[in-house]
Amino acid sequence: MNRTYILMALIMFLLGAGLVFLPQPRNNRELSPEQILLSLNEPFRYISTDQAARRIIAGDPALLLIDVRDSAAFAAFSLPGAVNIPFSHILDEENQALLAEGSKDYVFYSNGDILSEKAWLLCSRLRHRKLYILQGGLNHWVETILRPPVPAATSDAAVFDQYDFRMAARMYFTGEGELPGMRKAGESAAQRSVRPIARPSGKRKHEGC
Amino acid sequence: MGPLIPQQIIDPAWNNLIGFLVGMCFGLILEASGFSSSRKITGVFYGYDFTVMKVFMTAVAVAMVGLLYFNYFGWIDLSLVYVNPLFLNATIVGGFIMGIGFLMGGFCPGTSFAGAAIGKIDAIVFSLGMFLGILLFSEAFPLVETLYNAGDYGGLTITEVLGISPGLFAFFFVCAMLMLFGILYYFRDKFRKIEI
Amino acid sequence: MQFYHKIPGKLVIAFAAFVLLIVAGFIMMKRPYVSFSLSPQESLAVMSGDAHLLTLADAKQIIRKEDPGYYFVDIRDPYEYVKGHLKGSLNIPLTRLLDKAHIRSFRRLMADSVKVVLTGKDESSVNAAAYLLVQTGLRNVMALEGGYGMLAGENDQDSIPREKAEKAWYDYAALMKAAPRASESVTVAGPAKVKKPVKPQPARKGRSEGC
Repeated sequence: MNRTYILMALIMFLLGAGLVFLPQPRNNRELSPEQILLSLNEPFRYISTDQAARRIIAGDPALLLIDVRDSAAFAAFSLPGAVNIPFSHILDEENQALLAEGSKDYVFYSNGDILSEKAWLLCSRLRHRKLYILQGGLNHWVETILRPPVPAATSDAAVFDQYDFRMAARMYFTGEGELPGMRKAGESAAQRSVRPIARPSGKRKHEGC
Repeated sequence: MGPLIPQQIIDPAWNNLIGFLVGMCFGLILEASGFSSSRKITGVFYGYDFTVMKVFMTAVAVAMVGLLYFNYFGWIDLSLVYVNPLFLNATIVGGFIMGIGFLMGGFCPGTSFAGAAIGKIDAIVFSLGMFLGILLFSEAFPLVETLYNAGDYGGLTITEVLGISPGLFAFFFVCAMLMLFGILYYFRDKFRKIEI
Repeated sequence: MQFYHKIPGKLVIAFAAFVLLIVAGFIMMKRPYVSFSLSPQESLAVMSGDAHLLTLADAKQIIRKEDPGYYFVDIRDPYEYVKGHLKGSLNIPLTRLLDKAHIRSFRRLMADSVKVVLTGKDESSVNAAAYLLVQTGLRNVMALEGGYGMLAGENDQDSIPREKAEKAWYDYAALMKAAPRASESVTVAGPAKVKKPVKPQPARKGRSEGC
């Protein structure tokens, strides 16, 4: 009996001594590189400018745009409802706390999508969820929403629908819709362009059949 | 992997059921160690029975060493485990009151339920008294509210205070425990056996 | 108290189970081959700089001189790689980038101070992958600005790879301020543009009625 106790005490002592020599516990709070690589391959991490515009116009409360450019650039121009977290401050405690809430879809944007993707990469590693990148950033925003390219006449109807939406969104963001000249220019045009915002997506039915 | 609930691997709604199951096991171990007897518990104060100390120190050492190893294996993330905040002033006063009650009644809250479960009358009376105390405390709460909230140190751990690694502290604790067990074993003839 | 004496040697059993659990933990534990070696703060500092971005001009020069200090890795899918790729570049699809063999060769290249340049469709497709590798301690990995298409002088249909993706190409504030004035020019063109989408719609209706 005595020997068993001594043996157990010895093993317990060794286990305790082993703890002293164990390296500092790894931080399990971070994702592994493999896990991030898997999500890199997912297209869902991007939000297109059209999707973002649609959600801004709809006043989606679950959307939080995060501007990762510096504060001067943010002060000069920002998307409606965006908050400014400069990339150099992204690891600050209060900014991390904001992301840790996880109650919204956090969409990073910058001029392009390089800086915002860096922010995405860093925050994903820290296990924050629901992070997205605005595809193409503000440059693409200008090219698609503020200056949408006119589709070719032979384009698919969906492309024209998208173009209509972009024209309507453009009016929404630049405030052109309020100009009296715009109203006069063609009421049907204005109505047509406003319509797609609330348009349900699955409307395309075959009426004939 | 763990902790399971803070990482939302299992739903927080399971909290109560898990607590129930763990509580049953805890009661079983308490009863198996003879803690449903007030004489065994107060024995540690009078110096004739150190079972309470041995059981609790073993439990602490096993949990400490096990958790640190599990943390190393990646089975649990200790940084996510909830640390009860420390209210120093309230703890000192509360510990003093609880010690007196412990000594007088011969039970601590957990063991009183274990004793009540096997039908000990003193344990049942103790449990009722405990609820009376809870009632008194809640009625008198406005009077003690300042003490209740004083000296908040947040979720402080002893390794943070001492500035040593958790592994080193666990090692010291295990050494201290083994030495104590050795001393107790050496003087085992001095303690009288009590029948419960 | 009867329960206490039911199982003989329960302390030894419990203790053996505890020790076995820890031994099993040691046996089962796998050290991951790749893990992050840079802390988030260090990564932030690295990402804030441009040290891991190979500009297009530099890249063209390197290719012309056939600089042995640079090794090009194409992270597009194999079928895209087959359609056209940089001479001497190796194809490692994005999902295979962290394979043990590849990491090992990247590490060997780092020991020989050879830079690994990731190329892809455009910069944003290699950006995250490059910085992921940099964070795992491979300090020799770089991302190519622009993309393969620009480097080869070809034009990819799917994307328009461009230089300086992170520069503001437009003066956004001025664009917003100028918007009312710009609207006039648009409204002139507006009806003409808006008429176009009307065309396909009758066509669509006609099609649906036809069946």
